Amino acid sequence: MASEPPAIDPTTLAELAADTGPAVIPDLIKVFLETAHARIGRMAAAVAAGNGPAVAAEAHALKSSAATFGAAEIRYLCAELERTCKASLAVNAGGNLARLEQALAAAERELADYLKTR
Amino acid sequence: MFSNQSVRDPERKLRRFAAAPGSQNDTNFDNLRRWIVARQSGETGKGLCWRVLLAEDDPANRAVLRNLLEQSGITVTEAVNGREAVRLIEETDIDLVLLDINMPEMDGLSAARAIRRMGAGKAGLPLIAVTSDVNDAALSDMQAAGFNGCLEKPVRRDDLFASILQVLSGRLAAE
Repeated sequence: MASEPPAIDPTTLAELAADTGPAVIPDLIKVFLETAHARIGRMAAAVAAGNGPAVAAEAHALKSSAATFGAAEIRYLCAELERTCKASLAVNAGGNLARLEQALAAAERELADYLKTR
Repeated sequence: MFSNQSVRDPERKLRRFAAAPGSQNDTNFDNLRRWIVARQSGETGKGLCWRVLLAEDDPANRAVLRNLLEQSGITVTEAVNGREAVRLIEETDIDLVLLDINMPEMDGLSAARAIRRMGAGKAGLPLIAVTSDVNDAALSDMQAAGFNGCLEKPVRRDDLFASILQVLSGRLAAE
């Protein structure tokens, strides 16, 4: 059975650490994870309220920061959510929100491992 | 001049994919740092202190960009949406503006148009768009709104300073 791809692209994360300096990486990761949790929470509320534009706006913003931190699966799922929720008047989140929560949990684990082992 | 280095500079794009972590070219970063130090020390007789307005609604991306700018000695003023960016530009002295395109309340395109309508001394500010959505239609919209350039997210340090240097060099030539 093929193994799951990493939730965090190590090359992108290493490039970010090289650009910003390694000392600030823990603080930047903390901000990313806190913001990601908050955005997914707001997305869930917007899905429940049937507010497609609000889901798309949060997904767009999370897609952008996920790219910065190499969180490829989060980036992909947010792009899908943004596309589907922007394209129709009704919210069309499908199972992507649940997958997004799983992807964030995986990213959180891998980022914690990165901080321990770097 | 409108430019998009990520799209129009195949060498930079290729280098970005091919480069090993941490092996990027530091020339632009060092050039800009030297240039700013020279300006601040009064070498040109103007004693200019560079202040960049950074308008970005996402806290994580804002923190990364702020870190990259402050490493060079640039003073950063933050805004979380286009409306706040426009207000801060009206109230304070800013030398260059980095505007995220997709922001709540007022997006980057509307903010750029509002800045270009300001009075003398503000309307000509260098404006760089920072966005993850780069395509022909988006670039056309940015150009029409008055942006001088566009940086594609995620932003690497060297691309950021190459873009700023390009805008600053154009501004100096016009002074």
